[in-house]
Order: sequence, then structure tokens, then C-alpha cells
Amino acid sequence: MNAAGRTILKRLALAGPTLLGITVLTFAVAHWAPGDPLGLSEDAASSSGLEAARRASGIDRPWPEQYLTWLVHFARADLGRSLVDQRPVAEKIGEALPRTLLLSGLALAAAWLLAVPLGAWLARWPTSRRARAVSASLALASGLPTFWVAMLALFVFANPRRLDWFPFQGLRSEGGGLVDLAWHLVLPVLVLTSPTLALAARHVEAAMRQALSHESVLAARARGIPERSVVWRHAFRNSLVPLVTLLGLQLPHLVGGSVVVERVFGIPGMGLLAFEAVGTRDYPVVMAVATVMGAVTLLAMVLADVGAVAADPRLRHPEGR
Amino acid sequence: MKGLVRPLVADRRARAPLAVLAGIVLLALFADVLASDLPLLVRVDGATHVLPCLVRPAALGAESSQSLAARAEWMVRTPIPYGPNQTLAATGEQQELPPPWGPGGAHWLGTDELGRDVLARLVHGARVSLFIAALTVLVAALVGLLIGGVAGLFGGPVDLVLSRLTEVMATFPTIFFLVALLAVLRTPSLWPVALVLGLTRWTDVARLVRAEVQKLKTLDFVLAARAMGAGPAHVLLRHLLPNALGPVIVTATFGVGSAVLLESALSFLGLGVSPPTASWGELLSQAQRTLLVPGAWWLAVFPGAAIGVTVLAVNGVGEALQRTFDARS
Repeated sequence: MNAAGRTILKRLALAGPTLLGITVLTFAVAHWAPGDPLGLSEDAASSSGLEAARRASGIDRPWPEQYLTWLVHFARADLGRSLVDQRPVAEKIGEALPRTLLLSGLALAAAWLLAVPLGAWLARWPTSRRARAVSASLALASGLPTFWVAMLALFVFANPRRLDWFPFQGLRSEGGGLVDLAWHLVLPVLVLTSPTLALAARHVEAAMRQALSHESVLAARARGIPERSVVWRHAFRNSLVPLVTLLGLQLPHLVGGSVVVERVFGIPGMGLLAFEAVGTRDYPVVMAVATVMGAVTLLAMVLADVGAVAADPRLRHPEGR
Repeated sequence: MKGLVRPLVADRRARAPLAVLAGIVLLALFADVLASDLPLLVRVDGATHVLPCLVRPAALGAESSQSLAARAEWMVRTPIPYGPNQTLAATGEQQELPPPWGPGGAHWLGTDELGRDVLARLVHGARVSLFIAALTVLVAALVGLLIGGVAGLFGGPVDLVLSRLTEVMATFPTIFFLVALLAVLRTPSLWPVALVLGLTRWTDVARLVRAEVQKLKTLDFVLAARAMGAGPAHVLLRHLLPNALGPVIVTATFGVGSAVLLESALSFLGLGVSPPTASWGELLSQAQRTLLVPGAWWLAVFPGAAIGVTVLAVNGVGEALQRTFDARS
């Protein structure tokens, strides 16, 4: 096994304790907030009934015991039931996750598909007037609050009194098919794409600018290699490592979702699920969401390392440089 | 610090963002004399009041520029003669339709549905938003410097534990922290919101400082200091951290922009400072209620634009700082 493989194995091994730490922290923070899901609900008839309900759900036990119980159940792949509506937590996540995956996946893919050519073009022609205009609009896209852009998008494009082009809320109309789904996705995906696109394009530009200034690019041009080939086969290939790292940092958004965008567009995905669960002290849901998000984030970090080694063969032999 | 300011001012591309940022900071600092329900100077009932908008003399009690206008011998109003929380009932204005009123006339940027002046709320909101952003970044930078510095200097098991802690915090969803905090505090004010935001955002600084310190601690001047008997605290505070400060300042500057955005998103979710305190995010979350039905676009457009301009200006300054440090190394 080479050095890079060992580094990645070490990261995987360390991911375990980190994930455990995330669950402990989530548990502590969730229980730190006063009140519990049963006490918060208005229809808790009598205090004796409330006590009985607390005992039945186990939330009257000491915290360490509750945490260990959760951990044992989790190890058996049992996420428990929601304390608010008694549905299995796995089922709730199973509903929310596909929505968020669809929304964030499309946005992430769109952002990177646009960012790579755009960033390369900006790096190649940095001083042209058009490039400056594009840079300025990218800066603007990353400086505006996402939920504000979402609100204005609804106001302009989903408003019977302005342009009534797109549906107002949700992901589907009654009895709608794929076209209907796509129609509902247009505005939220566009809103989610713009900040990611701005960030990715800026990183592509910086990485490409550095790669293009390398002497090997000058040499390639001197040999008469076509510019297109110089940019994509020589320079772009050398700019991949920081981009893979950035992509790794963005992958967790695929399952985390965006609370504000989901809220403005009325799409009950992972972001809203987490937000509502912690608001109602629905501990099993909070724990499950944090664990899923934490696991995906850690996995993305390892994937980014693997990707970096794949993109830059020198990383396979760090000592032998 | 002096070595930092001069190249920044000399950098042409930094001038516009610096000027805009300075303007916004001045607006925030002087919010009380720019937009107030009381005038700057007034002579009423035989007494002259200087800066009643700041002093709030008991003699004027529940008066306002509007109610004083009829009886005062003379007065100098604030440029925006409305307080941030002065509703229709306090101004006593009458128009054909109930508020929200659009921009124009006495209210340059319009009013909300309670008749509060949008411009006055924007100016006072700048203070809240900038204060939270600045404090957030300060807390984040201090915690990050400490944890990253200690992890980088000592290495070994200390580094292993602190790096895991950093990873946990970076992975932990901020929103959980804030919802729990809101439940604990019930009516959160500026300080706790900023502190908690800062405590969730130190991880970038910590990683950066750790890497810098690891690089710096092998250099000769550090070895020399240690050979002369300097303890770890002295080496860290006097030699390592000051030299690692450059990239931290750049990161912290960009952090101010993202903290302004974060504050607005939190207020939008109802987790920010409690109303009626005006912050830019609170203005936007309020705008959401009136955007579609009466179509009060001015309640959403102006605060959002204020956030956008601020973030752009801060990021412009951050880029200029980055150029300065890049040119130096």
C-alpha cells in the first residue's frame, strides 16, 4: 500500500470518532434547549398523563442513559419513531431526502457545468470588458441573500399580478407528471445554482490562471499545440486538485438542503425537516438528521482526498517528490 | 497594522469598496442623529433642547418631530425625521389608503404595514447587522487562533483531539445550535446571537492557523526563541500567531460578509434578534408577509440591496487585502 492509500485509510478510521462526536454534540445541544416534544404540545391533557407519556417514550431517563439507548438502537439500524407524529424516523427521512437530493443535485450539477467553462474563459481573457461584467455579476450572485433572491423570483415570476409563469409552491401539482415536476423545479434550482456557480467559477478561474501561467503551457504553445488543447488538456488537467477539494466541501449540501430556499418555495426537504424537528424537540429526528448529514460530510471529505490523488499522480508518492 | 493600511489605500481597486464600507459604518454609527423621532435642535415651551434625539430629555416625553412641529418656536429635524420603531399612531399621518405606503413623498423608501419608515429602519438596522457580523467574526477569529495555534504548536495527541473537534464543529449543522439557543434565551439580544454565531464559525480560521503554525514552527527564529528558553505560550503568542495573522485577517474580512448573510437568513427564519429591533434580516423576514399580497416590493428590495452592497464592499476589501498579502510573500 502506498502513502496516499494509508492517508485515506487513516482519515476513514478517524471519521468514526468524529461521527460519534457529532452525535454527542447534537444530543447535548438538543437536550440543552428547555422543554420536550410532549410538554410543548398544547393537548397534553393532565400532568399525570404527561408524566406517563414521558415515561413511555423514555425521555424522563437521565441523559447519558438516553444517549446510550439511542446509540444501541442506531447500531441496530433502528432510528426510532418521531416523538411528534409517531411515524418511523427512517420513513420521514425517506420522504425528505429524495426531494433535497433532486433539488440540490440539479443545482450542483448545473453550477459546475457552467462554472468550468466560465471560469476557464475568465482565466484566459481576464481583462476583456465582457469578462469584467461577468466577474461583477458573479460577485453579485454570491453577495445576495439566497432567500431574498428566492422571494423576488416568486414575486416576479410566480405572481398572478406580474408574470404568472411558474407554480408558486411545492414540487408537484395534483396529478402532475414529469413535466409538472420540472416546471416546479425551475425557480428553486435556479436560485440554488447562482451562489454555488459564483463560488465555483471564482475557484476555477483562480486555479486555471495559475495553471495557465505555468511554463509547461508556454512550452505547449511554443510547440504549436492548438489553444483549445492547451487550455483543456494541459492547463485544466493541472488545476483539478483545488477544484476537487471545493466540490468535496459542497457535496454535503446534497443531503443537507437549504432551509431558507425550501421554506420560501414550500418544499419539505431535509433542511425543513431538521429545522422543524429541532424546533419541536423531536429528538429522534434531530439525531437522525445530524448523523446522516455528518456521515455524508465525512464521506465527502474522504472522497475529496481520493479525488485529489486521482487528479494529481504526484500525491500518490508524497515522500518521493 | 500600519503596513496593512497603506497598501490597502494605495490599491486603486480597493478604493470604491473601502469608501462604500466606510459610508455604511458611518451610517450605522450615526444612526441616532440621522433618523430619529426627535429633532436635532428644538426650542419649545421657552426651553432649548440640544440633540434631544440622543439625550431624550424627560421634558419631551412622548413627543415626536411631528407633534412638536405645531408648537415649537423653531427646530432642526434629523435628515430622516422618523424613528425606526415609530408607527402610524406616533406620527399621526393620514393617507387615503392604509400603509404600507410606497416610496416617495415624506417617506423616501416607503413604510411598512405599521407605517414605520423603511429608510429609518434600514439605517438603524445597519447598526444591528454590522455589530452582529463584526462580533461574530471577532469571536470566531479569537477561538480559531487559539485552537488552531495550540493544535499546530503541540501536534501529537493534542492536535488529534483538537482537529477532531474542529471537524465536528465544521460538520455540525449551525441551525441546531441557534434553535436551541433561542429556546434557552426566549428573547435573544445582540450579544448572545453574535457569540453563538461566532462559536459556530471558527473552524476555517482554526484550520488555517494550524497549517500556518505547523509551517512557521520549524523556522529558525522560532528555534532561536526556544533555545533562549521561551515557553510554549510565549512562542505561540509572540512569535507564531502574529506571523500567522495575515491570512487570518483576509479570512476574517470575507467572514464579515458571510456573517451579514447568515444573520439575515437567521432573522428570516425567526431566529435572529427579537423584533421590534430592526436588523436587515428582520426587515426582510417582515417583507415576506407583505410582498405578494399588497405587493409591497419596497420592503424587500431595499434591505436586500443594502445587504448585497455591504457584502460586495466587504468582499472587495477582502480581495484587496489578499492581494496585499500575496504581493508581500
